Amino acid sequence: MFIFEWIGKKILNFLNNFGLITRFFLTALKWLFRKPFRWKILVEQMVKVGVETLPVALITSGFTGMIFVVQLYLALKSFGLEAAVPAGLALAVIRELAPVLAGLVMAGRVGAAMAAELGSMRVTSQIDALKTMAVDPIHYLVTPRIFATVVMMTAITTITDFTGIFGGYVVGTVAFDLNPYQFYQDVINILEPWDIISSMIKGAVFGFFISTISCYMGFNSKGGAEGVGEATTNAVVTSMIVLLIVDYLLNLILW
Amino acid sequence: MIEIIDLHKKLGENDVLTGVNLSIKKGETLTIMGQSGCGKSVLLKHLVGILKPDKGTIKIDGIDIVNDKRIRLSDIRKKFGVLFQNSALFDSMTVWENIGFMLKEHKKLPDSKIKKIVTEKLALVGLKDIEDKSPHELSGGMQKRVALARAISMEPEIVLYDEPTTGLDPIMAEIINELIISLSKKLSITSVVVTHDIRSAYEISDRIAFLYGGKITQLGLKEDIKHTTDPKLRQFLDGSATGPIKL
Ligand SMILES: Nc1ncnc2c1ncn2[C@@H]1O[C@H](COP(=O)(O)OP(=O)(O)OP(=O)(O)O)[C@@H](O)[C@H]1O
Ligand SMILES: [Mg+2]
Repeated sequence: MFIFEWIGKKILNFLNNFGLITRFFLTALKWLFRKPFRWKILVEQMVKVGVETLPVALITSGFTGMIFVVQLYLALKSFGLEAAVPAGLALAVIRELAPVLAGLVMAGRVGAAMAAELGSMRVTSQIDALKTMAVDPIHYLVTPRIFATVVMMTAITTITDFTGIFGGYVVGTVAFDLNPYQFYQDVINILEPWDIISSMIKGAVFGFFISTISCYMGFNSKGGAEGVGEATTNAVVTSMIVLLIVDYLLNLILW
Repeated sequence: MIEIIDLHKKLGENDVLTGVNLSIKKGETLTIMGQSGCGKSVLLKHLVGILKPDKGTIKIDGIDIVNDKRIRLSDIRKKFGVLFQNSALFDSMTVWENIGFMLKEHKKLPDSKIKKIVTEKLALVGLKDIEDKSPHELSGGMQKRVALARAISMEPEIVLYDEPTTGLDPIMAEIINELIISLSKKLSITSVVVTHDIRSAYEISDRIAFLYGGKITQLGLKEDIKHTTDPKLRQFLDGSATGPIKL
């Protein structure tokens, strides 16, 4: 019961904050179209997001693809359907596993890092200092972070699409002796361009929610180090829950 | 000219400012003194629009920065240099990037020019050869001086100093006092200084204001303040543990 109560509280808390977060995002969006466009910070953030997420996302998706094929093979073999493994793998990875895993890794690493960084800037008056130096902190700090995360999440999801399937391919062909050429053909045949595109859309949407929520939490931290810690935890937990809810909704919309 | 008119601010459960009235003249150095926690930093933050008052207003050169919707706060802020009590240096940047931040943002100067100005400003606060260090590699007092160099990087018309000499050794404190005086004389900067350092207040101020119970209760030329007979201010200046000030 405790866990449900806790999750319920978190969700309620989020709904309370929903209006505020929306406004926060709209402000960030408005600044996207105002000069100066902060290329340098954008590139810095993209590199940071990529470096922090990509290795873990690659490992996670590769191994998940491998494990998934093991389970899928064992389950389908008892019905004599092992030929359906490649198609099952491809659809599961592209439509669900790759974007969700990349998103969860992103929330854990990038979301936490953004909330912690902005939170510590808040509690040490660096955000106030930016303001007094006539620079809008949302323009300077938040807009590039959201933009960078959305772009990088799209790219990383595309890469994890590939590594997830590749992991499954290796296990399927090496451990279960599935025909490599047939495997490849099955994957190609089952996938349509829309699958790849919607995988990228999912990634982009996840990136948007993770970065907006995490920046919001960090930006509005209160108190000292403790407040920053709290903001960081909240950012990760909220991002992950929202990610899963949004994932469900996207599944209804996209397919 | 800064006019603070009937300023009220409640933070949490705490009525911090309860009707502050104060005019600061162009070119003068005004020191605000008061007990720890009486709201000095909160008052300074109102002057640059970081905090919004619950009631009352602030006019900078006649412009109402609280209520006038036509003004851009960022334009007003460019007139100011602010030294935060805790320095508030950007810890993701080096010393020179910190000091050169506004020069880059607002004047779009090339890095070579910025570095030259940074070195000059560092020399003013008694520092050198630390341009490429990161703030966390500096001592607290050095951070404070870097923050001061940053505050004056754009040669502002008004400088707000929140405890500029706290945490500095007596010699360095004296150097900073002299810097505040010379900036104010040479560039006719308006200075608002918050300090507990009474010696420094006597040295740098034209006028001194005493913030107590959320209001300015005493205000006068430093000579008059020195010889005040107000019991609370007297107790504060003499630093006695007993007296009318309730703790
Ligand atoms: N963000 C905040 N939220 C709630 N209360 C605050 C906040 N900032 C300041 N306060 C309260 O307002 C009062 C005034 O704080 P302020 O920092 O202005 O004191 P100060 O006069 O600068 O003290 P010191 O000399 O120690 O720096 C304090 O009681 C403080 O607890
Ligand atoms: Mg203070």
